[in-house]
Amino acid sequence: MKGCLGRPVSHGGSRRQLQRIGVATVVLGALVVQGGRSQEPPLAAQRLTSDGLYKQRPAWSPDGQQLAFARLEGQALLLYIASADGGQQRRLTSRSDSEYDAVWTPNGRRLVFSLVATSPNQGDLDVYSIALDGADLQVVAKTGAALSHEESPSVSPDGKQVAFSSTSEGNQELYLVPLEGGSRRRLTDDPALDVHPAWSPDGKRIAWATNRWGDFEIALLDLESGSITRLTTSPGLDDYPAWSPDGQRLAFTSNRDGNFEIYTVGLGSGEVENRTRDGGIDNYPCWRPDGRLTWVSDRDGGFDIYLAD
Amino acid sequence: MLFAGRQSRSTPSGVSRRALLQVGSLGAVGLTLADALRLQAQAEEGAAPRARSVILLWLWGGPSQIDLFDLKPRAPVEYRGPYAPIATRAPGIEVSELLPRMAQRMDRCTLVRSLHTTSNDHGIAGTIGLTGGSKGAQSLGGQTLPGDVQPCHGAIADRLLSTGAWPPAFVSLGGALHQGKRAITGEGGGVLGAAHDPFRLDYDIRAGLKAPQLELADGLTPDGLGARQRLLDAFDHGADALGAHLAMHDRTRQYEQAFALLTSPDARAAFDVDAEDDRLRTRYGRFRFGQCCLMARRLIEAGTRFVQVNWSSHVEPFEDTGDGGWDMHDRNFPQLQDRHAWMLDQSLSALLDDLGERGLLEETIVLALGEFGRTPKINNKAGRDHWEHCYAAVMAGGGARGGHVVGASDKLGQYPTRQAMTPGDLFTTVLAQLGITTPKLTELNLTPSGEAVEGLFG
Repeated sequence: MKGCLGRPVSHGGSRRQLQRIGVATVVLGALVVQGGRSQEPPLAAQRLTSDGLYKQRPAWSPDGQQLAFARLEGQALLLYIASADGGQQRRLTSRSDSEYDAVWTPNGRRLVFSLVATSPNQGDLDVYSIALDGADLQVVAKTGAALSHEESPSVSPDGKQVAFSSTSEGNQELYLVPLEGGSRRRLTDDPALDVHPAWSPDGKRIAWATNRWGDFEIALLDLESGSITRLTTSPGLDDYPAWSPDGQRLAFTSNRDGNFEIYTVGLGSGEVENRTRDGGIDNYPCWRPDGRLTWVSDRDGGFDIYLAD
Repeated sequence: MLFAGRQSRSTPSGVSRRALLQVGSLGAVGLTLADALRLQAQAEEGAAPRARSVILLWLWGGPSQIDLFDLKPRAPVEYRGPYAPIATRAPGIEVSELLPRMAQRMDRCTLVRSLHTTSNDHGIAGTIGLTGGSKGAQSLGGQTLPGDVQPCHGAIADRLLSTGAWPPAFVSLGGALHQGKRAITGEGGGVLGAAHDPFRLDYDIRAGLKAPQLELADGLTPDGLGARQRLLDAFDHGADALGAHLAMHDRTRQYEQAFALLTSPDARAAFDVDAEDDRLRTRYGRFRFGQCCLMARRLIEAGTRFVQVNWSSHVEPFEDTGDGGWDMHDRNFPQLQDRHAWMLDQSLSALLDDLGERGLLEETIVLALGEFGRTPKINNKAGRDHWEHCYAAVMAGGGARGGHVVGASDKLGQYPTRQAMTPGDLFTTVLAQLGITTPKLTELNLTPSGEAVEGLFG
């Protein structure tokens, strides 16, 4: 991808490009958002699931007709695909080891997700893609030798590349890899943790969470220039960024008010709003294609998926 | 605080020689004669219990002290991790931002930040944590350490404090502790005998109450006993058949005890978590550990003296074929912030509140810790490995001092710098609070597994 930062791992990398990230980090500041409090009422929400079992990372299909999510069953996180109202649910695979963090390819034909490939001990997470009928499992990002963790995939809007995090080089960093697998390009280079990348709808930026400035904050990486912009500044942790379909806002999880809530930040205005303001734990935001926020909450006791009215 | 230094093992008469020596030098630390006399009286009282019961929350796998109760925000990024400390209701004490509920209850808690143990093997450290020593412990590689397995703390309480069949003095909630596929040693009566093994119960978020001792009976398979109502119905309608079954088969004490307990009205009432207010059940958390904590409160209320709640059976996380333990060699941070930390925060704070509202906290010691801590330096898998040199515990109730920190670690959280203590020291102090001191242990041919520690209790 032209303009992408980083280097093919096998070629030693572009030091200049990585330095640009560092410089950009120093000179950023154009879009620092102070934590704010919304005056808007919290979102009314429709409960899509009702089993109460722990769930994570819901993701809507591009047509908004299906919802993928991971559910904790027994001792494993297992992927499910549900109908739009949550009523009909089916397992994606018949695997017994954990699989989670599924996202859709733009054509809606495949899911890209993390799985525990082998589990002699300490796990070995890799990123795979799979057809919706559970067939045609293909490697996207995998390390063969040393134990490492490839996870949190996000597919580019053109469907050609996948951003993900990996510990393959000794620290958790962000990388790009073709959807079909192959050489990976490193996007970040910092001793802090870099996690949960989310590709913008226009394909130009990646939002992610990093603790390079203290605790987890949301940052933006401009793929053309390599500049990094710190998007949030809050006393709590900010994580799991998710772009609105129009690219004008980012939803994210934050505990800045002492409880995990779903916030949004306007990319133009910088205005931060607490969208949930609920006593329960609200986490893992995503957007339905029509712009309705979706997330996981235990507001009714168990953990279920909620869709904003 | 009365004691100026660490209290050593007591003499058979209950008087600590070191404590008496301390009396002689009290002037040097500014204590009055009245203090000295009170100290001596305390020492002479020896076994006078100041707490009635214990709830031990066993955080199997080893939680990260530096991400929860002993943060190092000024350490390099490779150590401090992504979480910020937050102020608590106890002035000057900070805990992780992942523990906002506990922060509001820290005025009731004592934090221990200077625990250390001698093994970084789950099996061995687990045995040390639960029995105070490594005798008979089994390593990951299958090696058995020399010596007879000592009784766990709950088994000692069972031996000395049991008053009859109901309520059982020692109950373990959650699954039996394992390292790999092997159950660890040190969860039972040890040299005191299997009679002092815990009565075991478990809770499955879908199936409800589970009684592991009964799962071998015909017709009482895990599936058959899965649902609580089906369990109770089985006892209602199948007791005769089960009794015949028992007559024909090996009657182990545990089996009979389990049957007798689960069919008694008192036991059924105590075990019926569904009888609790729905909002209270939600406050504890609608997950295994939360509901086991609620069950622990019900058992303490019924008269049980020592309840051990095992966070998980296996140390490994769900992502590694475990059942959600604290062994976070990798993915330490998403696991902590997305599951473990708030689960602990929710369940422990609800337990403290519930015990307090019922007037039980003053007489019940609640203690949460694992078998060791985790490496202060983040490893190359965004995780933290085993760290036996320094870790933390949180304690409340039963006379524990509130808003207090005992011990300290260095600037990176690697080693204790003040008042280092072993799990044996900690539990010797806890048992002493129950009135179980050296003389009583001596009657059982046991010795204290450590030295009583000052400052934990008021």
